[in-house]
Amino acid sequence: MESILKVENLEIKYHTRQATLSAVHKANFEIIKGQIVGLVGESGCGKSTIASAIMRLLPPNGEITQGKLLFKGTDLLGLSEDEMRHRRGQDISMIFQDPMTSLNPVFNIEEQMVDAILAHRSRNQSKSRSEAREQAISMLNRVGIPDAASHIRNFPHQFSGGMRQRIMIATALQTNPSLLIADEPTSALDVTLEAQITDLIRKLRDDLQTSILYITHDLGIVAELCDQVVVFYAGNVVENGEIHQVFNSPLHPYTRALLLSHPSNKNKTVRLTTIKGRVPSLKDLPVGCKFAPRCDLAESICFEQEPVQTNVNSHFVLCHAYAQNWQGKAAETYLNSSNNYQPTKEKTPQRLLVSESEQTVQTKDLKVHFKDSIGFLGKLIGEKQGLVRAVDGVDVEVFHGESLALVGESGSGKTTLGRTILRLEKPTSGDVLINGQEITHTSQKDIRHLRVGMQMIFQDPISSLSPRKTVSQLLLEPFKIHKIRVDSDKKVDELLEMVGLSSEQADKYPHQLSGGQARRVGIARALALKPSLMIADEPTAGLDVSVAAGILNLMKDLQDEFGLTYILITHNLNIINFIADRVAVMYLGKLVEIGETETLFSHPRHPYTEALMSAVAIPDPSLRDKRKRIMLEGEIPSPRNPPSGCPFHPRCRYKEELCTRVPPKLESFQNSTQWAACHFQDQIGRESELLNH
Amino acid sequence: MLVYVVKRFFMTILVLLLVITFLSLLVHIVPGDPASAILGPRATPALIQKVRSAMDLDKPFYYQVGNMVLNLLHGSLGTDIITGQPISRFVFSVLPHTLILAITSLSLAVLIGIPMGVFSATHPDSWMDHLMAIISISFTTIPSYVAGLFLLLIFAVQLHTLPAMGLGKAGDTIDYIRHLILPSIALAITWIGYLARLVRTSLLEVLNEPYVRTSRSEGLSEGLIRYKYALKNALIPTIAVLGVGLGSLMGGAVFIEIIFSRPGMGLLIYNAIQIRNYPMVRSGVLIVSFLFILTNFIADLIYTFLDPRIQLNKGQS
Amino acid sequence: MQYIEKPVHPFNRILDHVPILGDVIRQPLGAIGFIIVLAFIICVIFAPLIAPYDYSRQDIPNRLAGPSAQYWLGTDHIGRDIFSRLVYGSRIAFGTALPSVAIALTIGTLLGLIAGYLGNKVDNIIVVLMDSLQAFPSIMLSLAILALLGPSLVNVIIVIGLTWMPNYARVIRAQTLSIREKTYIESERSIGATDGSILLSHILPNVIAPALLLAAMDLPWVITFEAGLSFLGMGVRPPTPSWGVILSDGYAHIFESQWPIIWSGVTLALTTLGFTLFGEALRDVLDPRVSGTRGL
Repeated sequence: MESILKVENLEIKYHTRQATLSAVHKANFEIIKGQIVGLVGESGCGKSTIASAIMRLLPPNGEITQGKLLFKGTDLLGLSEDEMRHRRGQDISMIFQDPMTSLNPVFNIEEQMVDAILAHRSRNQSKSRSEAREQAISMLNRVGIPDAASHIRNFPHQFSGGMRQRIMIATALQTNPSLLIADEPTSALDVTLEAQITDLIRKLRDDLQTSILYITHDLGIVAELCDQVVVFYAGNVVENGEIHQVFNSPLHPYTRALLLSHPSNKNKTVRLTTIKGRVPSLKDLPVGCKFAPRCDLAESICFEQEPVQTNVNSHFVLCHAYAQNWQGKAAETYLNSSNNYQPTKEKTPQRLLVSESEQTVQTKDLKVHFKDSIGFLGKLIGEKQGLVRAVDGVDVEVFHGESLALVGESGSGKTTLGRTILRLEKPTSGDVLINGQEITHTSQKDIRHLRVGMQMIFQDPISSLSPRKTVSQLLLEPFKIHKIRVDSDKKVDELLEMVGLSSEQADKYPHQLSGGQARRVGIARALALKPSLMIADEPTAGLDVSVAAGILNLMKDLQDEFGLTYILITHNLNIINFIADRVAVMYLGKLVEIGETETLFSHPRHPYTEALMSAVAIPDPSLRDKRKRIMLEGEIPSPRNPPSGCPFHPRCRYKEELCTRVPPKLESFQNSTQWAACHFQDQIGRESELLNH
Repeated sequence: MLVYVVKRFFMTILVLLLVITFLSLLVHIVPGDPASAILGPRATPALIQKVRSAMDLDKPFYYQVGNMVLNLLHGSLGTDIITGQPISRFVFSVLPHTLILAITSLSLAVLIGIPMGVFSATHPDSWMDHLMAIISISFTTIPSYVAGLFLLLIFAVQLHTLPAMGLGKAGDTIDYIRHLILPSIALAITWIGYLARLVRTSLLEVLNEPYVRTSRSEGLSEGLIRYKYALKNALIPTIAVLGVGLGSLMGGAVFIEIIFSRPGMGLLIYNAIQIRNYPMVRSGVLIVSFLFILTNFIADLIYTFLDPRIQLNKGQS
Repeated sequence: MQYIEKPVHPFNRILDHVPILGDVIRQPLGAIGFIIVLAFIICVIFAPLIAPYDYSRQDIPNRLAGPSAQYWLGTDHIGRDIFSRLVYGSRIAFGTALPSVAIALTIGTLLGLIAGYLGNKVDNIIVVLMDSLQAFPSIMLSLAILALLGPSLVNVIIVIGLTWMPNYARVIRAQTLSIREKTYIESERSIGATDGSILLSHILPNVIAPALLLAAMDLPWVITFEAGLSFLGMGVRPPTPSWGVILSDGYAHIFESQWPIIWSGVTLALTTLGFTLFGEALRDVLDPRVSGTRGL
C-alpha cells in the first residue's frame, strides 16, 4: 500500500491581533493510494484549515508551527514556494464548496483549463495550447459535460451549478494528480446533484486511482463514499479508522453522539440524541480534552490533561476512557441506552388521513405565476415577457395536527407554495382555505388579523430576526402588533423556556446568538400567539447535525404540546422520516406525489420520488453496496419554459411517447391514500422494492 | 444585450430631455428676472420686454423646452442676445480645448493612477504601499483649484519654466502642448489619487475571491494570477467610473480654465455668468451635461461589452 | 457579509461610541485625521479667542506682508491678517457644510426610502429624476442655479444640498431595496406588522448608518465645493472670510504676494485631508470588510 500523504503531528496556529489561536493540534492521519479519506466534523472545527495547509495556501496570518506533511515521502513543508507551486494542480488538486464563485467569471472555461495545464509546462514537456485544449476537452467529456468541444469557450455563468462543479472537477483532475482534496464539494447542491457528483468522484477514483481527501460535515456522504474516516473536533483528530469500524463501533463519545444525532432512518417514536453545549470557539478552547465540557463521561482528568492517541486495532481514538488507568464508565456504554421518545399524547397518524378529519389547509388549483418586470420601454421595443410558473395548479390538503413535508429540488416551487398558503405571496388563481375559510381575496388588513393563527419559521435563522432588536423586543413584538396586553418580562421568560433557552438570552441581539439559538428564538416568536398552523422553511438548514437534532426534537415536542399542524418545506430528505406524517413531492410547480412517509420511501409511485428517495445519502456504510441508487440524469429545467406533457419526462427512465404529450393527473394508487401524477404509476419501483427487502 | 443597449439609450434620451426641461424651468421657479439682470437697473420697460421675448421668457416653459429641442435637432443653440451671433459659434470654438484638457487629464490619471493602485494591491502593507496610500489620499483631497494655483505659483511665477496663461501661439502645436501641461496636471491630480485607491481596493477584493484561491490551487504562477486573472476582474468596474471621470473633469475644468485663463467651456460659462447672460449659461451647461451623459453611456456600453456576465441573452448551456 | 455594528442602547449610546473613536485613533492615519478635525472644530467654536485680530480689520500700510511676529501668516491686499481670516473662515466652511449635508441627507433619505420600499412607478420616477439631477456635473448645476439666484450663503447651502441629495437618495434606495428582500422583513410581515411600522422600525434603522457615514465622508468635499464657488465669486461674498474668497483675493494679486494663496490653499487641503482620514478610519472601524488586512 503506497502512502500518498502522511500528516504527522501537524500544528497550525492563527495569529490575530488579540492572541495566537490553535486551529489544528497534533493532527495525524494518512492517505493511501486510491483511497477516499473522509474528514468529518462540524463547522469551525478546522477541516478547511487542514486542506489549506496541505496546499500550503493558508491565509497570511496562519502558520504551520510543527509537524510534517509527507507527500510520497517528501515533506511539503520543506519545499521552496516555487517547488510547491508546481505540486499544486499537478500532484495535488483541490475542488471547493461553491462552484458558483470558484471559477473566474470573466474568462472562458478553455482559457482557465488550458492555463492550469500550461502552468506546469516545464514538467509536461512542451505542450502547445491546442494540445492542452484537447486534453481539457477530453477531461470535460469524461466528467459528463455534453458536447464539451463546443461549450469549452463558454463562460462559467453560462453553466448550471452542477455543471460548474463538474468543470471544477475536470480542471482539478485533468493533470492526473495523485491527490485530490475535495472541500465540501456538494454542500451547495441539491440532493440529486449531490448524488451525481459523489458518484462521479467515485468513478473517477476507480478509473484514475486518485487518492481523495473528502472534507464534509455530512455523515451520509462519508458512508456512501469513503474508505477511511478522520473525525475532527475543535482542531483535534478525535477518531480515525476504517469506515465500517468507525460507523459500526465508534469509539469516541463525540463520534457516537454525532452518529446517533443523525435523523435519517429514525422514525417518529424515537428522540434524536443531542450534545449539550456547543463547539468551543478557538478563542477559548478548554484545557485538557476539548470535548470534555460536552461529554457525559468526563472525569476530572479530562478537564486537566490532554488525552493521548490510543490504538484499538488500527482504529485510533483520542480519549482518556481508553487509557489503561481509566476509572470512569467505559466509553462503550456512552449513549447506549437509546432514549426512546415518549409522546405526551397518544397519536395515531392513520386516523388523520381519513377524509372527514378536519382540514387545516386546503388549496384548490393554486397557481402562482411571476411575470418578469420589463417595464414600459421593454414593451415598447417588443421584449418578450417571461413567465415563471412557480406553483402551477396545486391541490393539497393538510389535516389538523399532522406534519406534511413538502419536498423537491430547488426551483420546484415548494417555498412559494408555503408562502402563498400564508398569503405572503398573492396567488395568480385558485384558492387557499385555512380552517375552511377562503383567504385568497381577503384584504391585507384582515389578513393581518388572521396571521395570529398561522406562522412561519424562515430558512436562515439569524437573518430572519430584525438585527437591531433584542431577543425580548423580538418576542414581544407579536403582542404589540396585535395589541395584546401581556406581562412583558414574564412572557419573555415563558417563551424562552418553552424553546429551551435561558432568560439570559433576552437582552442579546440576533448576531450574538448561535445558529441554533437564533432558530429557537424564531420558533418562540412564531409560537408567541399560539398559532394552529406552522410552516417551517428548511428548519435545519445551515445547522450542524447535533444542533439540528435539538431543533427537530423541540419541534416534535411542541407539536405534541400544542397540537400544531406543520408544513415542513425541506430538501433534506433525511429529516422527513423522523418528523413528517405525510410527504408531498413537488416538481416544477406541480405536485407529483403525495402520501404517507413510510409508504413513499418504500413504495414510491412516481419516478421522481423514487429517484429522490434513493439519492439520500444514508450514514450506514453497509448499505452502500446493497442499495442500488437510481441516478437522476440532468438538472431540473428552468420553470420559465417547462417541458411539454409530463414535466418530468426528459429525466424519466420510464418515459413513453405518451409522456411527452399528455400531462398526467394526480391519481390515487389503487384507492389508497397515496396519490401520484404518473401515467405508469403501477410500474414504478419494482426493482427497488426487490432491493430494499 | 441589445435589449439592454436600447433601454439604456432610451433612458439617456429621457434624462437629456429632463435636463433641458430643468434648465428651462429654472428661470421660472427661481425668483428674479434674467432680462432685467442683463440690462441693469436703468433699462426701460420696453427694452426689457424686447429682451424677454427674445429669450422666450414671455412664453410658457413647455414652449421653451420644445423650442430648445427643435433648435438642438437643427444643431442650433439659439442666438446670443448680446452679440446677436449664434451661441453655437461661441460654444464650438472653445469646446475642443476643454475636451483636449479633460481627455489629457484622464489619460494622465489612468497612466499614473492605475499602476499605482496595482502596485499597492500586489504589495499590501509594504512601506511602498503605505507611501502610495499617503500620496493617493493627499491627491484625492487636494481641490483642483488649489492644485492649479500651487502649480501656477511654482512653475510659472517662481521658476518661469512653463507657460501658464492661455493656449499658446495659434498654430504652434509644441507651444499648445506646453500650455497644456500645468492645467492638465492640476486637473488630473484628484483623479490620479482616486483611481489609485479605487484600483487598490478593487484588486485587493478580487485577490480575496474564491476563484483566485482556485487559481492558486491549480498552481498558476503568482504573476499570471495577479496580472491576468485578477486584474481583468478588478479593472472592469473601473471602466464604468472612467465615464463619470471624463464628465466630471469637464465640469471641474471651469476652475482650471479660469486660473490659467484658458479658453474653454468653463471660462465661457463663467464669463457669461459675470454679465448675467443666462441663455449663454444655459446652453453651455447643457452642452457639458450632454457630453457628461454621453460619456457615461459609452462607458456603460464598454463595460457591458467587457463583462461576459451581462450578455445574458447569448446562448445558455 | 453583514454590516458590523455595535448595538445601540438609549442609555449607553454615547459610551458605546467611545470604543469606536478609540479604534479610530489607534490607527495612525485616523489619529492624524482626528487631530486635524479637532483643531478645525476648536477654530469654529473659539474663533474670536484664537484670532488675534478682527477678520475685517485693515492695515493698509502693511498690505501683502509676509509672515511676521505681528501677522503670523502675513496680510492680504488690504492689510487684513490672513491667520485671523482663516480662523474665522472655518466658521463659514462649517456653517455651509453642515446644513447643506443635513439637507441632502434628509431629503435624500426620504426619497430613497420611498423609492426603495414602494418600488414600481414611484421608484422609476424618483430614479429618473435623480439620474437627471446627477447628469449635470455638480459644479455646472450649481453655477447655473447660482447665476439666477445670485450668490449668497443661504443660496449656496440650498444649491449644495440639492446637488448632493441624489447621492443619498441612491444609497438609501439601494440599501432599502436590499433590506426589503431580507428574510426578517418577511418575518415581520408574517406576524402581521404594518408597512408603516416595518419601514420605520425595521428598515430605517438599518439603512441610516451607511448614509450617516457617507455624510461624514462628504463634509470635506462640501467644504472644498463651497470654497470653490466662493473662489469663482459665486458663493459667499466678500468681506466674509470664506477660504475660497481669501484664495480668490490672493489669485488677483498673485504676482505681488504668494502668501494668501499658500496659506489658504494649505488650510483647505489639510482640512479636507483631515476629514477624509478621519472618515475613512471611521469606516474601516464600522465596516471592516474593505480594509486591507484581514483577521481570522
